[in-house]
Amino acid sequence: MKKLARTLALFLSAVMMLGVFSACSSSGNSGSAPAQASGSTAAVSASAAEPGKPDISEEVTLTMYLIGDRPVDNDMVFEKINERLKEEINATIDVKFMSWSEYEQKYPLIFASGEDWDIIFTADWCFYNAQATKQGFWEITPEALETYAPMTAESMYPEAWEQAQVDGKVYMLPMNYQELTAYVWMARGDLMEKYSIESLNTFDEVEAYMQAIVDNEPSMIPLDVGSDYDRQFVFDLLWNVESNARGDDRYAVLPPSSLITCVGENDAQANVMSTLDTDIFLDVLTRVKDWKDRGFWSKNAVVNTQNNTESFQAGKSALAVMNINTAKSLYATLQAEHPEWDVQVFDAMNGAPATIQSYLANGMSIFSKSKHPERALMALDYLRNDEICHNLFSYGIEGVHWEAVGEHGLKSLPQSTNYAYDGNCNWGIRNDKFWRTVEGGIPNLEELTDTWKANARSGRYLTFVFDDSEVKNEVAAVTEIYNSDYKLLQLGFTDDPEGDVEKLKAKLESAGAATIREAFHTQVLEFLEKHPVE
Amino acid sequence: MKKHKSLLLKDLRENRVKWLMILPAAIVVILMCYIPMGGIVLAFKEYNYHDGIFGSPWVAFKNFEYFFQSGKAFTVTRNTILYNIAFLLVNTLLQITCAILLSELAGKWFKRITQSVMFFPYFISWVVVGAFVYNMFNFEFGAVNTFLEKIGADPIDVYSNKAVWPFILIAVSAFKNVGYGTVMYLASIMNIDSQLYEAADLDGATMWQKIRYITLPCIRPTIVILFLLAIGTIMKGDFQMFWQVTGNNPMVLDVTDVIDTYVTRSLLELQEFGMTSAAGLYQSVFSFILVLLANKLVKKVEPDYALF
Repeated sequence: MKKLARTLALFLSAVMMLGVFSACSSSGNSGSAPAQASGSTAAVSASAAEPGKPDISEEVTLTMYLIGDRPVDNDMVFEKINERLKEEINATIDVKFMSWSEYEQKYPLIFASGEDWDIIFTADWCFYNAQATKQGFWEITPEALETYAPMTAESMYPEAWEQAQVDGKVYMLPMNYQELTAYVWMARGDLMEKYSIESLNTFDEVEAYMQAIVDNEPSMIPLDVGSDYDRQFVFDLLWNVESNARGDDRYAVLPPSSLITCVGENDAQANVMSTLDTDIFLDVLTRVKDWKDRGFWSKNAVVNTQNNTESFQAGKSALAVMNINTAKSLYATLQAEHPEWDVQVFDAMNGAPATIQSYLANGMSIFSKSKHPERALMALDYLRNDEICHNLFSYGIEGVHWEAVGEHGLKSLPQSTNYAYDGNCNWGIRNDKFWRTVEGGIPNLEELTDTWKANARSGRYLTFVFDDSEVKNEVAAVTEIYNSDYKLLQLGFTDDPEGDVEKLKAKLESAGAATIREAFHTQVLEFLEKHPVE
Repeated sequence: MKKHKSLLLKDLRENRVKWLMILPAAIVVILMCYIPMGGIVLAFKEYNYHDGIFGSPWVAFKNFEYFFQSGKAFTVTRNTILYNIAFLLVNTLLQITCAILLSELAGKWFKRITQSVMFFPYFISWVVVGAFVYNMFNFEFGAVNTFLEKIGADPIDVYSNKAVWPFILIAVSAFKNVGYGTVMYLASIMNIDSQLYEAADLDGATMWQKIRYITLPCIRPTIVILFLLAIGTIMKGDFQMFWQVTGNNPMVLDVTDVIDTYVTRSLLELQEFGMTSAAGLYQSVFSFILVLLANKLVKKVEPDYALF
């Protein structure tokens, strides 16, 4: 919180300073023109100097923002990466971090702060569309890609390039990696044994486990979900199962989910509706409310800024929910820190299909005001496609943090607690070509992955992008409701589910939800023309 | 006009030192208050990072629609004003009471120590105060509930109870600010001519009468000036306090959301710089009108004490 306050203060003063500076630079339009001009002259002079090869005579330091906490050995790893980059493209990278608890606040602010930085992690869940439409990112044209990132140009999946388009322009290098997203429970094996809970494969078993903790472990909160991104995990899990039970009539929540809108997945008429109007909403809400009432998470969950994995790691809670990728690295860490906990991982999907992620689930972008966008692109090219850089960033230093096992495997060494496997926000540069899975990680990982792979599917609306330019005011009003009233429901904070749902519906209507639905309807129909329901 | 100009020049020459003394303050005000006002244009623009504040396209009053359409304008304005009135009344009352009590105390050391202890919370950051409050009222492990459990009573759920938040906020505001104001009033009490009290003693006045007829009338100018200064900020919610102490809790937003927290929250959630600037501008304009009105009122009642 203190950091947030400081960031805000900084931001506000930065805005003031911005005012001062832009006031000095005569007219408004001149602001954008020179930037473009200098960009193109650089390109021209470069090609003039040595045809086909960019000019790298000037040494530059690029600032890269990642999400998460700085791993202990980050500097050690980046020293190695920088050695390589210096040699190849005469640039080095300086990494800055914004932690999980504050990235939602800090991310948009660094774009406006006037700070000098170059590269940032981005994703469809991490402001990609929002910042792209506000021109926060540098456009990556096919020509630029050919010139500055030839390796990427060659290896990029065509679908990935297509998905990354916002109004026909690309602002991101999506990961070169196909990812399956599925959620798992992570539980304390020692406590499960104590209360003779065999497994957590169904919601009922999970419920029994949490009840046992409530009854017997007064110093623990069973599942300490926070108010940030993990607040909706439980709700979404239950929702997916209920929705999936409807078979072909299942719902698809339309992105962005903050607009609380969904559509029948196979509905060719695109009858867009509010998720509150679905017949499953109340069932899910009732169960979430029941769990909350039984004390499965804190009565203060809405003001809790710690996320549930942190709480689990600190031994304050007995269960955590997370996606499988987080689980992989957390498992390794906990095995080393608390072997006595006998940490166990269970499938939390309960038969709902895992989603094949869009390539945009992770990616890297360049800041539109970067002083060296071309060099940043070159650096990203190396991080993605140069095996040395890719492996350093993704797994750490070979021989210190990991050891190769065969072609596609690796073994984490004890030192990896200081640089966890696939844990340093390296996801945006993941490359199938160099990918190694960790050996000796979660024991039942293969079994889990097999189940998910068997019925994994990519959602129909995965690549749908909502254009909100015509309904900005309504979007603002509904998002505000999503972040206050709807958030409460997701965490089960209601005394009268039916009444509160009705109240919320009325509130959404007066905020202009109908206008948003109309906009969705038109756009979804357009989308379905290109991607028909077969 | 010309005469006026030469007057100013003459004044500049004659009172060089005084003008010099005012210079640092003037620079700060110009840098921090006047120049940033250029940013007001943001309220009428659709901001994007690339074109910056002055280059982004104009959208006239579109940014204001959201603020009023969402129905939030009324709630947050009401909260901001009511809270500030409550803070003003409660804090002023406590400050004057404490100042009088302290001035009546005899023991020098006791007086000094009490004064310092009361002043101390003023220096504690709101973040820390927020942590105090959370640790007191946390449902599972908070101090209050742990105590209630020990004595066999039912635990209370503060974070979802709207009714108690106004009281908590008023209490923490008093906790932080009473010491500071007390010192101001105490200073003003110390300046009262002691002959007045001696004369009253001779006439056989009781302590109550001395307070009622000497102390209070003598510190009235201080009260009025501090009151006027407070009116100027009546539309400004103490952002740090509301944000940190309530933890931005959506369950009680109806009674704890003030303009400043609302603006910040919308900015963080929507990243619509234009819309939030619009809300900010609304706040400033409203605040400006209030100051003018309050000043006019004071002018009517107590012409000597009006600010301008």
